[in-house]
Amino acid sequence: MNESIRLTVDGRVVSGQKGQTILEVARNAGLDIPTLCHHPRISRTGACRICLVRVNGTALKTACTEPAADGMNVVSEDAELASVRRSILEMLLAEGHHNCLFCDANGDCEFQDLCHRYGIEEPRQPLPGRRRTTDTTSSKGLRRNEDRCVLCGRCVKACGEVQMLGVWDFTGRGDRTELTADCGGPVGESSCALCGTCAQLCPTGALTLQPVNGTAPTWETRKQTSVCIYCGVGCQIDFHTDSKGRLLYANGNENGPNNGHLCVKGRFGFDFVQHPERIRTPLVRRDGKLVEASWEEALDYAAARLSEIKAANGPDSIAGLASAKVTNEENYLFQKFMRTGVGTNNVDHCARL
Amino acid sequence: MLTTADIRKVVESYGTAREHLMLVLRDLQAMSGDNHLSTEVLKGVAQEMRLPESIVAGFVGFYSMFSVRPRARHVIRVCKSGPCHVVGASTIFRILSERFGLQPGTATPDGEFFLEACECLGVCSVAPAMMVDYDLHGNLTEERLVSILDGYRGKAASTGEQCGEETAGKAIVVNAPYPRRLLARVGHIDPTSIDSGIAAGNYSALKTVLSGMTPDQVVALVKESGLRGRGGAGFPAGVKWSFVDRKAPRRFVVCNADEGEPGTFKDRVLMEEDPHSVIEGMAICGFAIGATLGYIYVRGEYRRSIVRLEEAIRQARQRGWLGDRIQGTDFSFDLLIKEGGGAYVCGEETSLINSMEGRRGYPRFKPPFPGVAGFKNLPSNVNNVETFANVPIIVQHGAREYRSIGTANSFGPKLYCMAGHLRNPGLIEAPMGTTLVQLIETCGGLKEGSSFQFAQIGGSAGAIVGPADLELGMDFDQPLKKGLTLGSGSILVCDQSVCIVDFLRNVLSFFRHESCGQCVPCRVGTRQLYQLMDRIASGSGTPEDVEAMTTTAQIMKKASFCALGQSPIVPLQTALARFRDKLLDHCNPAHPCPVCSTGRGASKPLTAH
Ligand SMILES: Cc1cc2nc3c(=O)[nH]c(=O)nc-3n(C[C@H](O)[C@H](O)[C@H](O)COP(=O)(O)O)c2cc1C
Ligand code: SF4
Ligand code: SF4
Ligand code: SF4
Ligand code: FES
Ligand code: FES
Repeated sequence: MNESIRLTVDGRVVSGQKGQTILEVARNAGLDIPTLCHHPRISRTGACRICLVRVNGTALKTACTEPAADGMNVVSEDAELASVRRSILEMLLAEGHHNCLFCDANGDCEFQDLCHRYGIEEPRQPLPGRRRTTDTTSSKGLRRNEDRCVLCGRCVKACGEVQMLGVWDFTGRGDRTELTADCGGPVGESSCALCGTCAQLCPTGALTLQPVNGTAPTWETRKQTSVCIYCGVGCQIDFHTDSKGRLLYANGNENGPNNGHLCVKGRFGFDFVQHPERIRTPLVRRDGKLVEASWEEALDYAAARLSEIKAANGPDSIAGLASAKVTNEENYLFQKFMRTGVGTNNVDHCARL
Repeated sequence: MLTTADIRKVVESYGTAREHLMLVLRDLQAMSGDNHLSTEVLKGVAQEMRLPESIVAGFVGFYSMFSVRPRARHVIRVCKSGPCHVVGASTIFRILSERFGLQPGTATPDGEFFLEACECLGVCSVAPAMMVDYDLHGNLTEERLVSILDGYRGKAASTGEQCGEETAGKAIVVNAPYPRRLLARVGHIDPTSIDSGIAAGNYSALKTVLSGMTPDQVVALVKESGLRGRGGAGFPAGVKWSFVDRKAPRRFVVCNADEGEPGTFKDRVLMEEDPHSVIEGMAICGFAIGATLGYIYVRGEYRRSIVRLEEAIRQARQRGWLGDRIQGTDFSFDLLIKEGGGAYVCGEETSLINSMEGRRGYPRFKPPFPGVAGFKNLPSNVNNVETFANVPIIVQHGAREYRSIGTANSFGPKLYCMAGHLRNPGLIEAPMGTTLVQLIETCGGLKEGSSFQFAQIGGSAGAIVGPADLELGMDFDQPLKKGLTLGSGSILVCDQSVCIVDFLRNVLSFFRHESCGQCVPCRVGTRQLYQLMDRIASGSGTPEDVEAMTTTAQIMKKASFCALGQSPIVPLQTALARFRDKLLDHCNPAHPCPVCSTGRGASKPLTAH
């Protein structure tokens, strides 16, 4: 199966495997071919036509779908290809309604990047606007502004192939094509599981995430990769923070064990981290009221009380319940403490579903 | 109101597999009483078929025969495609507006009729035409229109079992001075009786194949005959058969009976009048490629074709020409019918396969070709109806005789669909390569008072040719030399009353309506082209708009996903080559065009043929 092949891309000999597309081979070799509807995590689409390349001198083929073949000669861009790409971008610009000034994706938009790259100005052939659905409030997780949609289908496949729910599909036909969530109606009333995958894969500002702790211009945010605290999968999360370090939104890290995917908890469940009501010091109950205490004080108090209870009622009068948000090692130590320190097998863990 | 039990019953009658979505929804829409599918019904179907709701909604949204808004008891679909347009489709709309108060997209207040504009219904030789429920009515005049509609009042919608007014094949086959092979039985047999067909030669070729030929020999024979696909592209059929992957556990024969190209009605006549010829051709193909199951994908509007094919298949099974161990041999082959839902693009073979699987009719990228991964991802050989109908002829007469018909590299007989301002429009069987002028003369020339202005060859995607091209041989290769294609073999003849700008606007509105919307150049380009041509037609265009159209159509040609988006350049460029001045004249507001400015097309008195 793993038959290796060699082809020429822009004069460079590159090698790949049979079954790979031109795009895959070129990208592995560090060569850049522009794309829009392509995403490595979903099946091949070939709809936007941005990635058209010249194969063996004449034929224009979409690099994202065309199988690479031994001896192929690929040109990733020439004057004609650039003009085709410009026309496609102009068409998309004319079809939608793009005002980057108030778009959530401004500065982090594949469509905007391509328009910059190809120097797109106001479209020469404007089309009378046909406004599509805008719904930024119905869902707790998603913001939808289809006027910015390029109908690439990444969200449809994100939900259908990655999250396996199929909330989105296209409806209508031709220039009347638009998205539908379930049978139509607000996405907030749909069967959406709020995983946010569609928004993460959307190349534009058509589908974006509801802000968790506020927003900031994309160019002022910083990305920090961390591991999700919720369950044993250990998804890697890219947290985006603003200049003050505020956690704004989370995306799955495309290289993590989760391949970029997140569930609703990992995606949105971090508001507690910087919440003003988050407990930051140990609390000890005094006169029936919980008051802040130092670690030393709290630990001493707990140790004293546990010893008293154990002496009075025996070790089995004490039980320990550990959290799934701590590490394996910490959980190990906790049960060790319960069994050898306290002397009971009454120990359990909350991730017991 | 349809109940959950109703929905369940319909789903159970077909099965829960996604491929049955089309028929399930078709039946439920018919049961609604006002021809629509409510959100509750869509949700119910999704639940019963265990599909995401979005898939059901997206499917319904793709096919124009479905509606999610209530319509009326009877749906009137008036054809607005080229051949009907040039003989006065707009007059039909005007009459419906004046006499019934109907505009497209509206219903009569009594809930009796809902009006829609639709694309070609495949009865172009009796244009202007309309479909009421599933009944086709051609040769419309004001009196006929009114009396036909009156006949539907208070009646239940026709379910298609009775197909209404006969626009029978007999009537529309033109008397031609050429031998009839494809149409040999048409008009001479009873298409609802297999005995009548067998007596006239049906199944004798299959018999020959089963009594001693090997599959490889059949493929070799078809290759040797030089038969090229009649669906439009002219790909050698035998070569296609030999490409079908034989390693897969199963493979399918698929017959493309979507016939959506405006001006084309040949496949319908074959299916309605000689259904066994298609069945026989498919069975021979099944034998050749080692398939035991075939599908005929018939456009949903062709109700009578479907009914007659169903009956023919039933009788063929009964007589042992389909089913297990055909005529006692080791060869088993059966056929099933799939229906379309009103989408021209589903004639594109990969889009057709998606539609067969219960998906939106988006074309698939190739490779893989259907011969490797088609229906249900199994190898599928897709051919046109007329292609299959040629196969028994080849088996019967041999490759050599077959090659003696037609011209170099375009062998065999061809069905030409003649429409427009002709004295006797209809279907002609003639050898490949018959010239345009011969075909026109076979139809008795142009109508009284008409003189030839131009013709469009091969449907909406076809080229515009002028008087200088009349000697052109209508085969695959000669038109190519002039940058034209034969396409489906339809020829629309237009007289002096047709304005080329209005005509092109009509063609471009077809593409706009039928673009699947998957790829950017076609989705946006078809809209831009229509907008520009409409502007020119309405007198506010500029010479730059004319150039902009060419530029857009050229980008579409280079970058579109499938041949639909690649084709508008053909009519546009060929028309510009002959009529550039007319387009530029329209850009001068001082010269309003009498045809274009009176709304959509020539509004003229209607006279029956
Ligand atoms: C937009 C579009 C519409 C088409 N419609 C039809 C059709 O209605 N009938 C048909 O046989 N082929 C149609 N074709 C051609 C098919 O894709 C395919 O080439 C054909 O069915 C192959 O059969 P053949 O080799 O026997 O011609 C269409 C192609 C395109 C791009
Ligand atoms: S958030 Fe997740 S479940 Fe909801 S629509 Fe997007 S991909 Fe589907
Ligand atoms: S919403 Fe985004 S991902 Fe979905 S089709 Fe539109 S642009 Fe593509
Ligand atoms: S060219 Fe048109 S019909 Fe074909 S895939 Fe693109 S949008 Fe669809
Ligand atoms: S990225 Fe290849 S067609 Fe869209
Ligand atoms: S029936 Fe109207 S154009 Fe064919």
